Amino acid sequence: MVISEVSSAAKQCYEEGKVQNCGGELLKKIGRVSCPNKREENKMEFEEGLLAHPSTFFLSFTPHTLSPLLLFFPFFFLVAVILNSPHLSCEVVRACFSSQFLTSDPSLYLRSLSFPIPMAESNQLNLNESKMVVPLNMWVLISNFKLAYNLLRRPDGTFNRDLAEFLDRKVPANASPVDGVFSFDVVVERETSLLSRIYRPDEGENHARTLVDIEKPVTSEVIPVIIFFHGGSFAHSSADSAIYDTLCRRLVGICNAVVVSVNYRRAPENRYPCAYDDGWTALQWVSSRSWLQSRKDKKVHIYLAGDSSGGNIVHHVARKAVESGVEVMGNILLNPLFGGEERTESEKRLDGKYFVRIQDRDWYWRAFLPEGENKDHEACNPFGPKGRSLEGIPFPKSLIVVAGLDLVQDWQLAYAKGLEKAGQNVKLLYLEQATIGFYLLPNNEHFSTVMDEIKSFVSSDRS
Amino acid sequence: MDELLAVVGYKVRSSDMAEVAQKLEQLEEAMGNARDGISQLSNDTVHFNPADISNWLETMINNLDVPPPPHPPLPQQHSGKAIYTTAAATADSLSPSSKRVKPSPAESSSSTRPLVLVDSQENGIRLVHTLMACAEAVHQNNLSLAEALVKQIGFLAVSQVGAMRKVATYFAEALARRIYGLYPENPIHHSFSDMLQIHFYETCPYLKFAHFTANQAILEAFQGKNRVHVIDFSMNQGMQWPALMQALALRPGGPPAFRLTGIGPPAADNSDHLQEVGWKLAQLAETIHVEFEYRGFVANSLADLDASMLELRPSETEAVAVNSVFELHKLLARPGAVEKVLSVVRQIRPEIVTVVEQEANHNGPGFLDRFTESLHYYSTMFDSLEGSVNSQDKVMSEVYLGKQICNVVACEGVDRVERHETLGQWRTRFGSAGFTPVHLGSNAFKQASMLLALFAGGDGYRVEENNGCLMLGWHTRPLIATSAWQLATKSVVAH
Repeated sequence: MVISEVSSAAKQCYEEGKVQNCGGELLKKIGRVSCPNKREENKMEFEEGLLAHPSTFFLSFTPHTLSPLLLFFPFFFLVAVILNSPHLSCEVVRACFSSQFLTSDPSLYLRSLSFPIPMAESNQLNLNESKMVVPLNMWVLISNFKLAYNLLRRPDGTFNRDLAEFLDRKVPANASPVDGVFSFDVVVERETSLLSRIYRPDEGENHARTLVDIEKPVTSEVIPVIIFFHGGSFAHSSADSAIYDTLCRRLVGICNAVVVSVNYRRAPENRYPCAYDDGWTALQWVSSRSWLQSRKDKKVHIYLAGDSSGGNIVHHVARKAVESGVEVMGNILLNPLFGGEERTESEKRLDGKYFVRIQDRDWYWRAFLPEGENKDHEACNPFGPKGRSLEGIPFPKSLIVVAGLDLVQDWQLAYAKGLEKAGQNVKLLYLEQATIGFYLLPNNEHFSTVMDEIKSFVSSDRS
Repeated sequence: MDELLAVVGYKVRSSDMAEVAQKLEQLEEAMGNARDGISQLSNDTVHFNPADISNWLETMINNLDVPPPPHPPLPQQHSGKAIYTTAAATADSLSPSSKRVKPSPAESSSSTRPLVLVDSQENGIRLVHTLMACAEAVHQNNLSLAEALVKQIGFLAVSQVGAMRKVATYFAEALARRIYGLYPENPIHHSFSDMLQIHFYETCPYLKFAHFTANQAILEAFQGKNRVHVIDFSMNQGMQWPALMQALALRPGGPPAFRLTGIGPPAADNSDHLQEVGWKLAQLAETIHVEFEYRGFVANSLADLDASMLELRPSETEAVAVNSVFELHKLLARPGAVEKVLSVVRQIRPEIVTVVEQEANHNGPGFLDRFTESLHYYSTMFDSLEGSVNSQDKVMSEVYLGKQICNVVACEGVDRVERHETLGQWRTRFGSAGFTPVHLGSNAFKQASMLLALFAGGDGYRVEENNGCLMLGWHTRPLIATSAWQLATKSVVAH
């Protein structure tokens, strides 16, 4: 698989080149700076130069006193491998070197070159670093979450649930269509108060639905039903959190699908396997709804999708489905949460750099996994030492989206590799410059790339 | 406002984005530096209105006593918009739905319809179908069809179980009254309606939540005042006041002198029930050593009140709170009434006005819409009662709600008093009348949540924060909302 080769090559280079962190930061800055007036020109020149003579191009660009080869070796290697790979289209390359990262402030560029950049331990540098790769309002959104979440996790492993619910922005369901989508909540299982929010395309009727017509049968020959598990590291958010309500609505419009967002029980109050049980309950409920059946074959065309902890849930619910003979047509994992006891290179390299720290990840696993278990538990590390093989099992095809600035990417890539080794159908989408949460707002190219991929993934069986 | 953030629940002006980013960095740094900073912000600080990120951060920064940043923020050449203007050039590849989704906050449109489905059995659907068809027939004045359908509902309801059956029965009765012109008696004997309310109070947390959250806001507004006066528009049995009096009694530094003016409708049997309630409260006040003064005030409508009748004392000596639980919507039956009452409230010059109302729009112009909205609302309400333990209480609560249903569906004009409107609609009214919001915070939220945990069969109750107001709902459907207000001319209350 090409992309995993790229990342291990990059890893190798970093080790061989022994480039200090500061050099790496500088590298990234140079790749994205130009003067305001000549922005487009510079961009093209940059890309052309890259394609023609990567190493000399960089040499001409920098007055920095550090040995240019040492500095640019890893980056050059990375770029060369990318360019030499036939599988990567221009779109993916663009995702790596997007013009969105060109700042119009030339003084910032000059400042970054003239003054030595301190070692990347300081918070200040980390905060500035993450600001370079996402639009400002997205930085504000994700940083705001990060800050709020810091207030909620207690060192003793308990969670300030009241404050969490107070701070979380929620929206009610709305049976009146907005932008072609209406929604309603269903109590899937009374005993556990398991709710799900159902989103349906309006199909041009343009009137508020009532108790009578809310469960009217779908009219399409083929319509995907995407069961969505929201993220939040098993502890945060709900199906009615505004960020996830918005995401699900967008999914309906883009994929022309029904989306069922499951309000699964959260940690630490409800540990493993509650979230998986709830996912399985919801899956059974969905598959038994006659009004969700595609006309073509009188079956519900189910896809499982989720981000962060939701991605993890997707895997385990899919496994349960396969073992129980319930058909799932595909799995979509967005920045899924996997881990293990080993400290991987990406975790060390990206710790604290892009909104997330390893210690936070560890807290959430301790809150979710059974007491006394470590991160090699099968829930966290399905292809680890305690994992069960998927060989010979009719597992659904998987679309796995990995953000290149997510510190757990090595685990995500290992998951993809594990599926591949077990002979399963996997498509990996590696977005080099994406951070966690990029899909929460649409104002970046990663969003559209991913949405297009998801759309074709769930539409493959449509005529 | 930044539109993309607005859609996901946050209010940040695009021009403020860089400043907000800087505050985030500042606070993060301070949290790292301050000893126990996180635990302080998490446990001690009271948070308000998290949708307004800028002010939320400001509160926390002030709480941590953070020194101002060394340099001003870098001049921001590009706002959030400029970054995706470039991306917009490639927007042809973006599908139309990924363009901005219009925000649909509750206040912007009364057509927002929250919906929680608990019973999707076959019979339930047929029953609801028939109810809706009957309502439609009534709406179109096709009374013979409506009559036939009403009878059918009766048969269908019998085979139903649970909340749906009861709701359907009440709605069917209301429809029948409308069809046959048999309007319910008005007013109903007060002791009966009082009794119903007491059962409702015991069965489910709605009234307790209403009283609790209103009292919390009043208590905070009365901080530091030595003489306080509560004017209660919704006196009834006075069930809200023992808790407030006890809280005042326990105040550090001792209780203030507490005066209560209770306003209520005249009793059908001319008994002086308002005075009786006052007596009971006076006895309580004596046992907890709170100086107490009471006046009961009978009025057919709140609109009959004038500030001069209330024997107000100078505001330097006495702080006033005005309280209204499920009363204001009744004023909407007469044009000009609510405006008159709000102007009288202004004249009272209260420290705070606490308002609790049903979170629903049952006052739309069209009968069919009102019917549908109330059907959804009361279905959820009834479902929340299903888990309650005491069946006697439950039945009484259902009767209590059933009277409301009857009024919404069967009555018109001045008789239709259950004219519930949403929080968004009340916000507009209060804003126009010269009031600004007083925010309820995370402390009230937390205590309300703890209160709910005490209710057996109450797993589904949820408290939600909404731009400084608190709402109580069943699962994801808000059912009542508490808001607090102050006169717009007052200086901004520092939190």
